[in-house]
Amino acid sequence: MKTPETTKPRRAGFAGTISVLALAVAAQPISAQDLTKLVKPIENYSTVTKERLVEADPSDWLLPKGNYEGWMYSELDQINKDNVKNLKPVWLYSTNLDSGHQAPAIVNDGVMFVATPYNHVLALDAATGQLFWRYEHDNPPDLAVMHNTSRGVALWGDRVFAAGLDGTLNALDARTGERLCQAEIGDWSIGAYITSAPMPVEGNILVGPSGGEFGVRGFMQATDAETCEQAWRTYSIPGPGEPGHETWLAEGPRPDAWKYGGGSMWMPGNYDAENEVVYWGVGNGSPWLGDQRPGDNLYVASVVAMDPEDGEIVGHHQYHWNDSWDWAGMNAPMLIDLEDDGETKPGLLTPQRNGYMFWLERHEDGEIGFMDGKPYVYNNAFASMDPETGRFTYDPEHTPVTGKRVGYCPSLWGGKNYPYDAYNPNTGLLYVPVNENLCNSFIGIFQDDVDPASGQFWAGIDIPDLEVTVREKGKSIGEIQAWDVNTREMVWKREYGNTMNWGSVLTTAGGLVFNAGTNDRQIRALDADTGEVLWTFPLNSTSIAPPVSYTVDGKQYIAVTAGYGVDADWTNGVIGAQFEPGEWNTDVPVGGVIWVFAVED
Amino acid sequence: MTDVNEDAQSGPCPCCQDKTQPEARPSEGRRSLLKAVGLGALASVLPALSGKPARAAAEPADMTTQIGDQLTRFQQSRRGPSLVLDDIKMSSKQLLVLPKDPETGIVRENDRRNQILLQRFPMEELSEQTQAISADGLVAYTAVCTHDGCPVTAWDRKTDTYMCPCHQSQFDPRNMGTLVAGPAYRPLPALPLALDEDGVIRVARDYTTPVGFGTKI
Repeated sequence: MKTPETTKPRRAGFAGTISVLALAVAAQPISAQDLTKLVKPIENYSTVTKERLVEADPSDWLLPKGNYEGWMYSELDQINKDNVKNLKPVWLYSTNLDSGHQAPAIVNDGVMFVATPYNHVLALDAATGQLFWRYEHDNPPDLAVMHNTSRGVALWGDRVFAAGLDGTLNALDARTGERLCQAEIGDWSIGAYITSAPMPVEGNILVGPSGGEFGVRGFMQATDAETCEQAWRTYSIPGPGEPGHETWLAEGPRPDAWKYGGGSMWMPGNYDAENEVVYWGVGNGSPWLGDQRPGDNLYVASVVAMDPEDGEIVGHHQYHWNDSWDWAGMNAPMLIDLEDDGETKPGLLTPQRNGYMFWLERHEDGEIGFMDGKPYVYNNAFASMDPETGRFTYDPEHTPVTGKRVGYCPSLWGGKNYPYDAYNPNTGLLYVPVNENLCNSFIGIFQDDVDPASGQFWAGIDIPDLEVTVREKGKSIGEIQAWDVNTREMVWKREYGNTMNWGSVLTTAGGLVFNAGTNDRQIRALDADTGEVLWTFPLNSTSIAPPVSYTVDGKQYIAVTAGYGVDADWTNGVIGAQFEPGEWNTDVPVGGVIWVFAVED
Repeated sequence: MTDVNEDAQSGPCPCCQDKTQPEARPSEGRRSLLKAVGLGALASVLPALSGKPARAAAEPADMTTQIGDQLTRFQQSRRGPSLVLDDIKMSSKQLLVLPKDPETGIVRENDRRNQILLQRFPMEELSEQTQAISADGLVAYTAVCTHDGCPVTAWDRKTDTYMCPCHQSQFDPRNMGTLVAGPAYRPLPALPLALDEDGVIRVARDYTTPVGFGTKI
């Protein structure tokens, strides 16, 4: 941690890692000004407060999912079922970068902030697309990460917070983009890099690193927004003496498996501001093979409830024990009232990567109760579910183990991956971006020639042995499903055919659902009640970032960033190779462009 | 034979367009190289080195790969001993290695761009261009995937190619690291090797192309 920002090196000894020649030509201290191209300072910037975040005024989009509850819902209705056919782009802005663009535009009183791969942050006029400033994070030259992406920024006070692939959290002056202070969160050199959007909660900024494929023990860190000092850090895998540690049995060849057992918290969580409880998703186990880390392995593949004051874990629900499928539980459930046994209860609802949707109850103290679980895609690994607790039994034929090829459905990318589902309180429906009909197999290996947390891939498989298969050719893979949150039944679904769906969902009071993410580059608006496609538009590249909505001077806009890359790009090539030419589109160009649409008067 | 290291000794290398991205290529004056490797062993492959002024001192562990460096295994428990030809089994999976300073024996382990893939094939299996940078069938490439920078540590037995575990980009080690499949942007940079009088594997010259990932290197 340094404040204010004056020098570049962060990792111990890093200053010397550059070559002698480079020292001679480039080792001058990098001032914050050098990292930011300032075109025009933002005037009359609107300070972000807890009250504004809780209120979530629909003119803004202040949080990754629009509100603390995680709904991906906009109350705006100027753009609606009747006029959406007239939706047209009003401005575009090229990010000038490749790789996967996964960040929603964060909009505060007419100012838009977009995070990009390579950790640039753009501040733009949300009505015109004119640049105020661009921050280019000084990632180290020898950086290596599995996912070159960023999933958004956090706003608090007059600052913008951007996490770096190098494991840092950076506080920028919202008006100028100048870096004011920096916190070290993760050590990227062991695999603890950050892609997640940070979350502003009660004056702290919460963010955790990735690393579930590298033997990193996951954690969440709260950083003081003013000083960039660590407020608290909570590991997702309890250490000795902590509740839950007993679920890591000291048996087998790796009795200390908890030290590098994964459980990354790599997507932003949600917040119950009334009861002051944060809810966060916990990722997959590391290595992927559960038989190499015996026990239930709390809190892998779980939601945890935490006290934002000190990070104490006050409740949890583990979606499945002893994860062996890379079915990370990274997406936090949304906060929503649910009907159960004739009562309306504060609930949690989430379609998980393991292919099941979970209805959970949240108690004021953070305890989480189980209500129900239902599959929304085909899952052949879970044999049965205890209706009281939600605990599954497994089919050993489809549970990966060391030393044997095992296949299972859904694939390791899950029934859905990181893209956000959306809830519309007017329809009472939850809209889920789904990948059905996809399976995979691999051979589990015991990697004793690779050290955990050494920055090397440590998932317990040899990646060429990974085979991804389409379960039934001719059936759709990508789709969007709409579920009634209270009857717990699917109401409609829209199949996209020979493509995966890597698009987050936005739903609006205009009775619309926006979804992109398919390999045909389309963004589409669907009728929220029926799933009928009302409008489509081909983007420059497939969008794998969440669409958002906001107003400037009373006019409603829809914004989405296109820019294919990372796992969406990878899987599209892998699956496309199994189809005849022309059956599956592998021609998806890369390159980031922010698209903003409106209905002209 | 072009000595690409010549440029690297006299100014910023082509890979350093961004001033925050210092060079990732091996570089060393002729004097120390010849001292380390022996004139006879390398004179034929290094005709253009001409003893540029020595640079300021840096900690060996922090430096990028240097010409004349020896190689040692990456795995912590086996890190240290210099690799010789016979350590590398013919046609087996690539070995992840690091360069080490021949003078001090210090492993250059602090810059991830120093991670190197080492493999050995029958010379006749290598393309003509690859033969020219090989030492007795030994080939070396950067481990830094040109896509997202992940270490390219997997070996696809079906196609005899390197495969990146992160996004499955594939590269052909018998043919200059050519990109065979996957989302990467360009071939894997190759690192020319030589053997010294004692059979110890040495870095002979600069990488054939800059080490780095993405389109912004």
